[in-house]
Amino acid sequence: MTNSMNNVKAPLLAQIGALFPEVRLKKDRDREITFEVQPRDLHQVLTYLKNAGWRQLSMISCVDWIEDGQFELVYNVFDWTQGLRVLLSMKIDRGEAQAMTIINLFDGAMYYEREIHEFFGVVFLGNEDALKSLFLERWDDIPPLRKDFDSRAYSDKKYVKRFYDPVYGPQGGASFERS
Amino acid sequence: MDKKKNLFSPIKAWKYAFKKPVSFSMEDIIDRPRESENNARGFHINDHTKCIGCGACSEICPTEAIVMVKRADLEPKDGEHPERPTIDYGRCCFCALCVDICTTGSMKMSKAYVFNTTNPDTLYKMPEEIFAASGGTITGYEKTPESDLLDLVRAEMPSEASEKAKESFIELLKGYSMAQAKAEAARCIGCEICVKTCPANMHIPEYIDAVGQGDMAEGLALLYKTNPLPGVCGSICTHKCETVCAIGQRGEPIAIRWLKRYIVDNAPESMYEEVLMAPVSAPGKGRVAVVGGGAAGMSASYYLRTMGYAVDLYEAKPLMGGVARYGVPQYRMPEERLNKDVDLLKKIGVGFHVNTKVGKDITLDALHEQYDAVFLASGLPQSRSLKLENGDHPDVLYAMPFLAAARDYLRGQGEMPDVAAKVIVIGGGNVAFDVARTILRFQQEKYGHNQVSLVSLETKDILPADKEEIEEGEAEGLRYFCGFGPQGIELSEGKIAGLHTVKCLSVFDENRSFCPVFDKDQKDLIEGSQVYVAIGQMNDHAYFTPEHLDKAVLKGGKVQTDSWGQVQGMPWLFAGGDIVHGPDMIHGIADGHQAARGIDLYLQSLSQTS
Amino acid sequence: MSEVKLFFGPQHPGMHGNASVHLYVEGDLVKKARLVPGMLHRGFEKSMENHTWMGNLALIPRVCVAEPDINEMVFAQGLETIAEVEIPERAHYIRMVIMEMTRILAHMMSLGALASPTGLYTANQWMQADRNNIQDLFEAITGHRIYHMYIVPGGVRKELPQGIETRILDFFTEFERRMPEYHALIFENPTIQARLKDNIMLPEFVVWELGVTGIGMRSAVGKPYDVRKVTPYARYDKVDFEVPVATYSDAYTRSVMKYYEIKESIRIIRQAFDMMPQGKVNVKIAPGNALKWTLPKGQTYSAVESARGEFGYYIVSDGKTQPYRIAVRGASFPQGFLGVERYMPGVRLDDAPLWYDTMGICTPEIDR
Repeated sequence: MTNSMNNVKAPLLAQIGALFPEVRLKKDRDREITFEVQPRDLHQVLTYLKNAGWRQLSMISCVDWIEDGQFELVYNVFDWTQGLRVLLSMKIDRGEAQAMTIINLFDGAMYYEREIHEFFGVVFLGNEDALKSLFLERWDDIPPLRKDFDSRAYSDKKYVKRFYDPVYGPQGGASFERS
Repeated sequence: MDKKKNLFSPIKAWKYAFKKPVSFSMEDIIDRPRESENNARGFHINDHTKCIGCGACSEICPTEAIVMVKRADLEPKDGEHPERPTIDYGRCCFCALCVDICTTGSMKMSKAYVFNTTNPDTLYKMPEEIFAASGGTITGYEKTPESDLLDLVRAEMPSEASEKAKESFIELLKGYSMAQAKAEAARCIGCEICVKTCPANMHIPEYIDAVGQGDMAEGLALLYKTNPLPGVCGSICTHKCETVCAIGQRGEPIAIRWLKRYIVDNAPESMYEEVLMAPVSAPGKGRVAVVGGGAAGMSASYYLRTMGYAVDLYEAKPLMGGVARYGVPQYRMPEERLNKDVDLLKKIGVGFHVNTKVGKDITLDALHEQYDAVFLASGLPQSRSLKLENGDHPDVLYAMPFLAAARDYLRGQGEMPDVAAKVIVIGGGNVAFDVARTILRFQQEKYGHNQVSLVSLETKDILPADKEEIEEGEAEGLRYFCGFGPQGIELSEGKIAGLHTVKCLSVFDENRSFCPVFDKDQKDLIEGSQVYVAIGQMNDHAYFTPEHLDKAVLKGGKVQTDSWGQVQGMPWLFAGGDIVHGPDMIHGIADGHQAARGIDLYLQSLSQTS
Repeated sequence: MSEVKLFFGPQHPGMHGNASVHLYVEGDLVKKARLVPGMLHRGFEKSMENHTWMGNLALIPRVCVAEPDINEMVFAQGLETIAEVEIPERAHYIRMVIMEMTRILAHMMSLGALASPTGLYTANQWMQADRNNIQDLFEAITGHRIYHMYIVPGGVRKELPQGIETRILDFFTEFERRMPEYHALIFENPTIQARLKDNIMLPEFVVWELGVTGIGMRSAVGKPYDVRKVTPYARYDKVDFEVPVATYSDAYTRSVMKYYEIKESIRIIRQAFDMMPQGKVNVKIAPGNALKWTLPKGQTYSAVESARGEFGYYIVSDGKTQPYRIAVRGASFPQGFLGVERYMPGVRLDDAPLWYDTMGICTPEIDR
C-alpha cells in the first residue's frame, strides 16, 4: 500500500513544489497531506488540484487560534481515483476575518462558507448568500464557536436552572447543595 | 427487477396470517417484562460498604449527573471519605464510564430499565436503593480488566542491581525520568483521601498535578507549605499516604514519595531561592530556641523563622539532621539531598549552634531566660538495651552509635567501624535492617564476602520492617533467622562465638501487648563474632531537672502535650517529634509546624495581655 | 396560478429527523425549495471542546442518531492517528463486525422509511421487527441497543461475550433466508415500482457539482467509490466484498443498491469472524487514567463509509486533555442544502418527501 502511495504522492509534491513556491508541506500522513497556503495562492492551488483529479470538496472547516489572533481555514479535497486526501490550511487574521470565496470552483462550498460565517464570523468576499443565518435563529451573541464565547455562561444567563429537592431515603445526608 | 404482475401474488400474502406475530402484547410488556442481556447498562447499583467515596465517578461523568453527598451515618476514617455518590437520572446518559473508572469496583449497573414517575424529584437517587421492579437486583454491566479506565501499574523505578549495590553505598533508587514522572502523575485521580492520612496534610494531589504539568516552581511552593524537608521525606518517609491511596485498592498505589523526590531533584538551585526566600518575614517578633536539629526541630525552625521570629537551633552532634544525618544509611538517604534541605534553613537565617548539648553545655532554665519560648525535639538518640547473658561483652554493639559512626566514616570524618567477618544482628524493624545492610557493605569492602545473620522474634511474615527492605536484604545476601529469641552469648576464649536462641512461638498476646512466648526446647546456636542490638530507640531527657519533672508529665518516657504541642504546667515549653509521638519522621515534621503555630498564638496572647 | 408556501416538516411522517423544508408550490409542482435547519442543532462541536477525550464518548454517538457507531469509529480512528498508536488485530475485526451490523441497521431503517412517502407501511413494521433482533445482539455485546459507546480510542471497550459468534451467524443465516421476502414485498410491489422507477434522477454532473458521496455517487458514476475500497481502514482490505454500482441513478436503483449492500455486509461479517485472531481488544492511548489522557499536538481528518456516504471528523489537538476543535462532516450535507435548493424544484409535491428520503438525507448529522 505504501509503495503505491509514494508513487502517487511524490509527483504531487514535486508539482506543487515547482508551481507554487510559497506553499509549504505541513504534515505528511499515510493518505493525507496537509499544505500551508497563503491566501493569494489559494485559488490557483485549488484549481490545479481540481484539474488533477481532486474533484470533491469534502468540507471547509475553521479553527480559532485565539492566542495567535488567527483563524485557520482548512479546505479538504479528496481524489476518489487515487484515494489521497489533500488538506489546505490557510491562516487569516482574526480581527478582520475575511477570505475569498471558492464557490466559483466548487459549488458545494456555498453552504460550508455560510456555516463558517455564522459560527465564526468570517466574511467570504463574493459570497453574499453566506451572510444570511443558517442554523441559529435570532442569535444575539458573538459567533458561538469562537473561543471567547463561553457556552456555560450563556446558558446560565439565558435559561432558568432547575433545583432538586431530593428524596433519597433515610441514608441521605441532611443537607445537600447542587452546584 | 421487473416482475410480471402475478394473479396469485396477493394470495401469497395470506400465508402471513397464519404466522406468529413478532410483536409483544401489552400484558407481556408490563406483567412479564423482558429481561435484558447480560451486559445491559441499566440503573446503577453501588455497594456502599465497598465504596470509599473517592469521587472518581463524579469527576468523569460527562453529563455531570453524579454528585458526592456527605453522609452523617458514616464514620470518617482513614482510607475513605464519608461521602457517597448520588445520580441524577434526568441527566445520566448510561454510558457506564463511572463503572469503568470506579477504584474499588463497587459501582455496577443493573439490568433494570423501567422507571415511571410523575415526580421529577424522585429521579435523584443514591444507587444503593435498588429498583425492585424489572430486574433491579440483577447485575448487568460490570467492569472488566480491559474496560478499566484506571492505570493500575506503577511506573517502574530504576534501581541498582543487588549484586552491584552491596559493593558500595551508592543510592539504590535512581529516580524517575521526566516521562516516567509524568506518566506516574497521570495515574492520580485527585480524590484527596491521602491528604487526610498524611500527618502533615500535605497538598498531595496538587503537587502531583504540578509534576504532571512539569511546573517545578509550583510543586516546590506546594511542598514547602506543609513540609520544609521534602528531600528527606522524598527518600525515607513512611508514606502512610500510599497505604490509603484509592488506586491501591485494586492496583499499585501512586508513588507519592518518589514524585516528591522528583520535584526536589529537578528544581534548580535558583528556583529554591526565588520560590522560598520570598515568604520569609524579617525577624522582630521574638526569639525562640529549638532543642534538637532533627526533623521536628528543623521543621519548627523553618516555620518560626518564616513567621518572623529569630530562631536558634541547638544540636548536640556536629551536624544538623538528626536521624536523617546519623541514622539512615547513605544508600537510602544520600548526603547531598539532605544538605539541600538543611542549607535552606541557614539561608533564611536560622541560627545554627552545633556541638551544643542542652542539659550539659547549656541548661534548659538558661534557655528559658534568654528566649521567649523553647521547643523540645531532642528525639530518640539512645539505644534500647537488651538483657542477655554475657551481654556486657565489648563486642556487643548498639545500633545508634554504629550507624552514626558509619555515616561519619562515609563523610570522611572518622574511621571505618570494625566489623567482623561473621556478624549477628538482633531486631526486626527498619533500623535492624539499616544496621545489617550497612555491615554487609562494610564486610564486602573489607573481606570480599558477607555473612550477616538477622535474628528476630517476629516470623518473616510479620516482620515490622518495610517489604522492600526485606526483599532487597535477601537479594544482597542477608540470612534470616526469624521467629527466634536471643537467650545468651556463647563465649570462647574470651571472644564471642555465637548467640544462643530459642524458638519464639508468639510475640503479642490477645491485648496486643508485648509478651513473647518461647519454646525452650527448640534451640539454635547462631555463629558470629559480633552481636549488634537494634531493638528500639530511647530518649535522652538530660535537660530535665527534678523541678521540671515535677511540673511536666512524662508517660512511658513520652512528654505529654496538648494539641498545639504546649507542655502542661510550663506554658513557655513546647515539645514535638519522636519524644511525644514515637518514631515517625513525617509526624515530627507536622508537630514542628503545629508547635510553631502554637508558639505564635501563645506569644501573641502574652503580648496582648501585657 | 399563484404560488403557495408549504412547510415540509419538521413534523411530517415523511421527514427524516426534524428539519423544515420550505416549499413554494404552484399547483402540485415545486417551484422553489429551501432547507431551514437548526431544529436539531445541539451545539455538539462546542460541547466536545469542553469534555475530556474519553468523556466525549458519551456525546459523539448522538451526533448522527440513525447510525451512532460511525461517530465512535471516526473519533477513535482520529485519535489513534494523532497519538500514533497501533491497536490490536482483534480490535480491528471486532470493529468491522460492529460497523457492518450498523450499516445493516441503517439500511433497513431507510428501506423501511420508504413507507411514509409511498404508503407501504408494512415495510416499516417488518424492518423494525428485524432491527429489534439485531439490537438485542448489540445489547449483548455492548450493553445498549442504540448508543453503543463500544468503539473507543484504543480498540473496543470489552471483549465479546461468550457464544455471541454463533448467535450472530445463526441470526444472519436466518435473515438471509428471509431476504427474498423483503425483496418481494418492497421491490416487486407495483406501488413502489410506479413511484420510484425513473423518478428522482441523479445525473453524474450533479454528483460532482454538489459533492455527493455514498450510494448517490456510486449509482450515478458507476465506479466503486467507497471509502472502504479507496482508502481502506480497519482491515477492509483483507476481506472480500463487492460494492454495488450502477450508471442510471433513479430512486429505484438507489434503493435496490441498499438491498445488495446488506447482502455484502453479511458476507463481510462472516469473513471477519473467520479471520478474527485471539488477543487483546484494546490498548491505552496515553499513560495514566482516563481523566488525564493527553494527546500530542496535531490535526487529522478521519473518515469512514457510512450508510449515506463519506462521514468524517476533523480533529485538532493542542496537547491538552480536551480537544481543541472537532468539526463534523455530515455525509448528507451536500444533498441536504444545495441539492434541495437546486434540484428539488421540478418534482411533484407528493414526491418531495420521497426525494428527501431517497437522496439519503439525515438531519441530525447536518444540524449537529
